[in-house]
Amino acid sequence: MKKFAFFGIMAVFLSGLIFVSGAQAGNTASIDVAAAAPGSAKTPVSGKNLPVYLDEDLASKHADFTKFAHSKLRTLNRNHRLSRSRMQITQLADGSFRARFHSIDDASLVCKVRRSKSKTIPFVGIVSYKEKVFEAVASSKEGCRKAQFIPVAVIPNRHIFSYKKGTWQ
Amino acid sequence: MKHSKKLMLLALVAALTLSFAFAATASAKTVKKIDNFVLFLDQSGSMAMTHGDFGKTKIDMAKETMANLNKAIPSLDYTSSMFLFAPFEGEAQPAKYSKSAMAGAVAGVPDDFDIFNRRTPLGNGLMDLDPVLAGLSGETALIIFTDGASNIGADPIAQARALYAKYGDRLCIHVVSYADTPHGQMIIDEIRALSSCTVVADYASLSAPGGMDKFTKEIFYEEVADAPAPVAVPVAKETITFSLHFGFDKYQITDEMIPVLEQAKMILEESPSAEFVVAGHTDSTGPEKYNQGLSERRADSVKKWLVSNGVSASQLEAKGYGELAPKYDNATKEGRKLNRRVEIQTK
Repeated sequence: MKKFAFFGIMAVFLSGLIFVSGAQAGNTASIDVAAAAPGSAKTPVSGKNLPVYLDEDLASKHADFTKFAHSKLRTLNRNHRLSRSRMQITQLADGSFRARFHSIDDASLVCKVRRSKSKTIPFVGIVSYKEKVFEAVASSKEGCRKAQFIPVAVIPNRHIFSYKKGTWQ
Repeated sequence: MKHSKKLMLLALVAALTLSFAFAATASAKTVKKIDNFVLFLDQSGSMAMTHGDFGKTKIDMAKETMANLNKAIPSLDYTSSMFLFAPFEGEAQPAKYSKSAMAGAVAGVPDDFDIFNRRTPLGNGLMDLDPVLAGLSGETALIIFTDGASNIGADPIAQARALYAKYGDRLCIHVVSYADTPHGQMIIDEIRALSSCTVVADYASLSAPGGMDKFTKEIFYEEVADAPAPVAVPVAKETITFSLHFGFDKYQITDEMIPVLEQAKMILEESPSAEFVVAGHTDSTGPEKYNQGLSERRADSVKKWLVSNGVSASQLEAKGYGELAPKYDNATKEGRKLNRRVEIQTK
């Protein structure tokens, strides 16, 4: 009788364990969290290899480069061979005209600055921007110029500049 | 009689106007560009501070932007949610997008929190948000509202990169900037620079006339005609441009060109299976034949440097275009200077 009671208690206890572990497994369904690779403890952090987000000096160079980049984009827009003022108008097979021009979207500008090992070029700057191509079709060349242009393509661009003797070039 | 003619004419004009109006609404359809969006708001101490240029607290500015954004988002079947970071909190869990629910969530964000001892663990916030992103299917826009300042904890740029590595084209991170420090703006730009999908915006651009509509349209939806089939504006292959400032008649790579070439190489390494054309261009000064030869030699020098520094030769083709493919106006000094360039284009 004692043996029976002992085995009965053990059976209840063990089955309880199984239920508990099953329930816990359900609660801890794992998700692989996207995480950046950990830094190497062998490489001590110094002013030269600071992660970008901690680099205050780079931040001031970034602000400086951003000003330069805005001005540069205005230069690119002004001098583009197919800018709005120099739009290309071609006659189509059906006799109508198609006008096309390119415009750099200043609002799309994103800047990035990196240190370099070079003594003469201590920084490089990369500006990303979107160049939009607009088109309009009309029955005459003059009609084209006045027509409503719609974007027909977007060209992503990255432009690399170097910092030499205190100026971006 | 004259009176009834006038009435008939008026009725005709009204009928025509109505029919045009109906035709216009019937011919355009609003189609969603993404399946899910997550609004992710910085509630760190610096956001409770007054913005240097606008004289309002940044948290108030962000809440105003978010409320206006909510009004501009079309009521399509998105899955929407809203989370806060610094500290991380769920304000609206992922659910079918409801304008009124989202308006309530935005309004419910406190704007009178402490400034001190409340720095910005954006990197940790992105890690905390990852399980939410993992539960969404389809394409997701993650819109971060932050000033980028006072970051502590995990590197936010590295964490954003890790999210892109995990989700690829299924995720696009957009940052609405309230930055009023160079450091905050740099962190925001670094996150934006991780993908060309990002749409750039700040408080000023979204408050300008038409700014919010442009932003919403670029991220959330497009208007397409019912017939013929909708045509999205195609995105061309990326162009990487740089000037190496070669001396007159020179084509050899010098030490000063290396930092720029290293950046170009790093950009190419983002697409290890792509093939590229390294194109040399000159301005129109000098004989055409000479310019052609010079551009070929310069393109070849760049290709050789890239190959000797680890880029596979099979990925690169060097081409000289001389003066025959000017991108800028050769009639001006500025234009000629811009035309003396090297471009790398994906094939």
